[in-house]
Amino acid sequence: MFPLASITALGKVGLAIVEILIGVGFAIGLEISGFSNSYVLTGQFYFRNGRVIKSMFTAILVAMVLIFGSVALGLLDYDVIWVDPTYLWPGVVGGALMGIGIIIGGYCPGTSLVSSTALKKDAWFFVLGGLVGTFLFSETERLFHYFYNSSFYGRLTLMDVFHTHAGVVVFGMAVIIVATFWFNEWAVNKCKREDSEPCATPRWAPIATVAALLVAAGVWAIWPTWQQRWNQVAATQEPLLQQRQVQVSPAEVAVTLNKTKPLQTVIIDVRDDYSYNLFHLRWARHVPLSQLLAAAPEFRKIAKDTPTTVFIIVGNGEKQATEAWKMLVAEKVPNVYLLEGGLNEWIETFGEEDLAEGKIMEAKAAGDETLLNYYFEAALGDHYRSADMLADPENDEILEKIKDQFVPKIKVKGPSGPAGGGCG
Amino acid sequence: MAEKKSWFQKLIDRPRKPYANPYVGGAVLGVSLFLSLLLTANGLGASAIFARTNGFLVNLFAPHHVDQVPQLIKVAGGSKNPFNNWITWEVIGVILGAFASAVYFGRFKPETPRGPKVSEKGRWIMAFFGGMIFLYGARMARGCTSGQVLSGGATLSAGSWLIGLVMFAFAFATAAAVRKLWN
Repeated sequence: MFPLASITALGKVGLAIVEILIGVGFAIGLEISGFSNSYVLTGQFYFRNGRVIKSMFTAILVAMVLIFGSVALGLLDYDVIWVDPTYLWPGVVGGALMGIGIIIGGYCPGTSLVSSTALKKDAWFFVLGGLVGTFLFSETERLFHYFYNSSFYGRLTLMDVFHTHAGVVVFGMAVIIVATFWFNEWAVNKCKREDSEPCATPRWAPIATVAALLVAAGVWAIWPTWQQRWNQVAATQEPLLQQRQVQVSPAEVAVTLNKTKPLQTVIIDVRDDYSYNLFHLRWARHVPLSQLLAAAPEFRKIAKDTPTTVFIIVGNGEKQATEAWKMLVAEKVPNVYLLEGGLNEWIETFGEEDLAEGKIMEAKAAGDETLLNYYFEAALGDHYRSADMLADPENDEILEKIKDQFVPKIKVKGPSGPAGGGCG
Repeated sequence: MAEKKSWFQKLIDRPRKPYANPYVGGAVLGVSLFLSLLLTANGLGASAIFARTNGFLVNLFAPHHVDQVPQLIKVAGGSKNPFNNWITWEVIGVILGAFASAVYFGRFKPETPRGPKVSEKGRWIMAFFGGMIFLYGARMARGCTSGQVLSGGATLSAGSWLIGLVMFAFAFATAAAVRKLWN
């Protein structure tokens, strides 16, 4: 899978050569768009021409469709490529300064390098001024260090903001970009001035519009379901299920919940309302299987904020929990485990007192793995001694007894961050 | 008798060709950006080379000062070579590509593009201060038009889209405020 495959294959020298070639393509794209000339570049902002919007938004549209098409086909790992992190207010202030700077200076950093090479003298002065500006920033940053690092949202994507998958966002952005093109064409034609460049809307514009929207809709159409994504990772993940490396015994779960390890344990109860009301673990988050997919982004966020988070999925048996485990693994939630034997085994392990008190009764007849193997006097939820291994001091004894009776399976893996860096 | 031209003058004197359709130029940019992310995991960038050149220069004249400034430690702290980064190779490519394209299309000419009401020197001064403001903002926003608006835009970073919108809004507003600069 790219990009790690190519980074490994290319090596240091290969990557340097690829970077040079990418730089060549980058510069040619800017130069032929007219951005080796500040008068042409700033023409956009008086609608003398519409070149900046046309070129930049086409670039974004083309790259976006190619990136997310590749992600949908399982060729590219979106989690590994560089996505600019969001610092809200420093971004707003920086964006405002850049907007002022591009009009006064006539260039942006990339185009100033291209134009300097094309012997545009004003671009040389832009580069000099840019170095001074960079110097001033590095010298003054300490004065607003707090602001500069404030309103940090991490790797926040539009998918996180709109709570949907990338297929939908790609299509939505394509609609917005194409609408911007039409507005831009209209504005250039409307503001037609004697110094405007001839810029009639091309005859193929409607066809190009339909084609762009169809391609973006195609990304949406092939956006994989969680089952398809599971199939992409099944080769490495299925063995973990088969070798029972992710099925954690009730004893280990109880100890994990109690230990003051630097762990955050999130219990996810994926059963239906009926079973949940009868019996559930204290502090369990009730997310029925049908709603689990929608909750996956939230779990990813929890894991990102606290990388030492362990998710333990709880079912009556293992059947539903295994399904849920595959779902969360396919959705790239890290450190997911499931309760071995489900709550049936949990009650068998810790329910002695509850059984003795008659709150819980055995129901040997039940054979279905998705059902509870017990009768309950009433739907008491978590009001059982065995449902709460944290609060009841008498449980300490039990915990003490079991704490060495299992081979620990829970291992917290750190986050796999992007391999690259941004404009650092 | 015709004067013998130097090779450099020959490059400059190539006839000027019209610019390409910007939609085509944009497609070239888009494919370059996609290949960059696919093969190297990085997007495109430009302002980073300013930061690294700045780190290099400060390190040259005041090496002790580098270790006191967080922004400089990142690029030139200790024995770090500020140019030991992917951006250096990319910018070498940018210069090669810009040279080839500008020469081929006859746009490799020493000149100062400017609005009709602005003198050559006036334009230089504006370019200097504009560059200063832009790069100050680009450092604040942690990336410029290439790193944030293009790369972050295509990878659907929420912050990058916000930065791009604010930048365009301020560019249009500033353009209206200083019409004489370019008209």
